[in-house]
Amino acid sequence: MSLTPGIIASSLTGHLITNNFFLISQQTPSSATSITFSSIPNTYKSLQLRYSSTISGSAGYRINFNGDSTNGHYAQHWFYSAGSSASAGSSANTYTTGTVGLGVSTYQNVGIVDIVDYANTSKNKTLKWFAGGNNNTSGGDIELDSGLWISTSAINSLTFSGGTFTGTFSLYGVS
Amino acid sequence: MATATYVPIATQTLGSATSTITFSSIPSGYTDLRVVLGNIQAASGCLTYGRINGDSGSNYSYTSLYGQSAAANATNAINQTYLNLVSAVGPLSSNPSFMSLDIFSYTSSTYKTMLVNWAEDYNSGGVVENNVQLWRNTSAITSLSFFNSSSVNFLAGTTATLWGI
Repeated sequence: MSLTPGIIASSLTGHLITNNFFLISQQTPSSATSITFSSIPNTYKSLQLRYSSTISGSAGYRINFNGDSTNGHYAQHWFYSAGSSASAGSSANTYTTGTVGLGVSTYQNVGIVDIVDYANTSKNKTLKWFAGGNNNTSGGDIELDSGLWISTSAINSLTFSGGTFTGTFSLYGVS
Repeated sequence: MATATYVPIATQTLGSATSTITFSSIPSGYTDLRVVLGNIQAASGCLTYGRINGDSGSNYSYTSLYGQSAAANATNAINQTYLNLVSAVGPLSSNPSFMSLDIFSYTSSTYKTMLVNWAEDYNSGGVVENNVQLWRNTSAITSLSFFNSSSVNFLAGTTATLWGI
């Protein structure tokens, strides 16, 4: 079928549904200093966390797993821009993992965090984090990050911290 | 039991050269939207743009991070009249490009922020780009359109899929 301007998006029907992406939990915090997803089931292959949130008092968006904030248990790499130049860097042996950018003020910061093989008990856990924010200024925050949690435990909880959040945080399981 | 989501709302493959790809009457029942343009080809070098709800006002801005050939670059622009989905080199007729656009909280009463990933390679160069887009409007998103600079058509075979998440 050829494409014509003005596709009626709602006219297509259910045979296209793939059913391998499941909403586990969604939170809509208002001025929360931390957000925790707990009792994460171990029945999926990977997790995806999606958020759209304002942040204030920011140290950036941080993630800890299973309540572990031990120095030396996390590491990260980033490829980043605040608007006019590109930079890359890394840090090792840290207390948490997260974005290097602090996020923009006023408007929403958004992100997609993919955590693969999160229930595997024989390997450390790696995440990919795609995040950004724009304030209609010459700055902004766009970045692609990797994160490592040095633990072979299955991930059963996940906590956001680093600022005061208002927005929507959704955790999905991918089978 | 968890709720299944990530649903294709509409998908099309261009049967002939077309100037504008439009999704309209987008339902409101999801948290986020994702648009995937695949096999993107155009008759000549151009950039690919987008608009939301037909808005052509100066309400768009972006911050971009991209690699072009051997260099890492960054750029930004404010008060644009469209979504600037790729900053460096847009689709060509010889090798297809790929784009994903994630639109978060598309029915919320806040301004809308989006993430774009663009990839293309023409065997003597190419671009990989991540950018963040802002549309300064509090309306729910009900339509999306995509077009190229200089009125360059998308060629037959370009695919467009709108997902609800």
